[in-house]
Amino acid sequence: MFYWNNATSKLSKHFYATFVFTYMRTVLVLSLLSIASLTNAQDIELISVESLDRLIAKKSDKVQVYNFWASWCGPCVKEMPYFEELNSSKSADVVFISLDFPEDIQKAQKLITKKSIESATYLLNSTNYDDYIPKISEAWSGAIPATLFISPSGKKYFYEKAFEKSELLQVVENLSSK
Amino acid sequence: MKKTILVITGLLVTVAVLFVNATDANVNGYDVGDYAKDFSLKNIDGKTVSLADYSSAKGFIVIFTCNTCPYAKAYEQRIIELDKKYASKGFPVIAINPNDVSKQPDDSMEKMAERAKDKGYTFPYLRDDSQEITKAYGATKTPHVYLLNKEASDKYKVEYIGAIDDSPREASDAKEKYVEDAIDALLSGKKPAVTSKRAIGCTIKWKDA
Repeated sequence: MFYWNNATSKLSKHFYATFVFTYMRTVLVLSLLSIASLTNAQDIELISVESLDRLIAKKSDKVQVYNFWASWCGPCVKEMPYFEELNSSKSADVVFISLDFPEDIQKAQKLITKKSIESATYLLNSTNYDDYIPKISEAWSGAIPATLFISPSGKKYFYEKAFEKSELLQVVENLSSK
Repeated sequence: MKKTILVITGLLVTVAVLFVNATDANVNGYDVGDYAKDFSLKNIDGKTVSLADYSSAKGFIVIFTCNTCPYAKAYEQRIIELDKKYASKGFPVIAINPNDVSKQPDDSMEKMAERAKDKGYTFPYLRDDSQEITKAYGATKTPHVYLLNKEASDKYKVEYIGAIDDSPREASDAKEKYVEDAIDALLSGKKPAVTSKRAIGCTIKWKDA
């Protein structure tokens, strides 16, 4: 009898726990869905130097644009909408690479959400600057903003500077046929 | 006719060479092994500072830096400590702010003087208003270090270019102290083992052309 009682109470505890868990999960999923429907902003993913290398090596019919930025960099944040527009108008494949410290990913995410960035977004998971900077471009001294353009034929063009909108459109137009 | 063509070709080549050289000097700045030129820039106290003023210096830690860049701010205390450690050994810090004030008002001479006073800078903090020295050196970002070894009066050899150490965020996490190692080598009569290391920094705010 004693044994039986104990088992029932264990069983009901189990049911209760399952119920609470399911309920909480539903609430969580619903609230996440409602946040997602407010904005289509991307979730920033950490990316390794090797994966970024592979991403850059990928072929495309369009100009590929890799913009290097950080949430603390004023001129970077200012030029982001110009790049986002290139992506939404489908004139280029745009990828934002944040160089915020990996532990500051939330700061980068906040900006991406605030600016409603829908282009692909990553945070480079490395602080071994002298290793990755020359891999992206020998011409890069490490200043940001910096942008790597890859023409449809695979030629690389690197700019260590902030862009004005018209200038950026011009560069992409010029490279589209290269 | 032939002569004219020759003369024209000659002229074109000369112009082309001159042009290429001119842009080269502007775009690339100094490499390690080059000799850096002296300058005469205004300090926060209103006086002008030149490398030639330091007759007993063995060299200089020239750092392009500013009030506003988060990376420069992260390195500020380490710059102060570099001067404390190495000025007495003959390698003082000379800080140069290259940013255009109209683009970055917080890098004005007044704000620089405030910052230097608050933080107790023990070294000159100069403004390169014309940005000519910044371009001659080839600095592109803040902070950007040029370690100079004074071989003779007005012979300042560039021995190291780049980052202060390998840990912008936390001084205590630095495993490699590039600038300190390079100076220690020079002080013991050796060549620095590492002569250039890249790091992330803020683009210099250039004047509109």
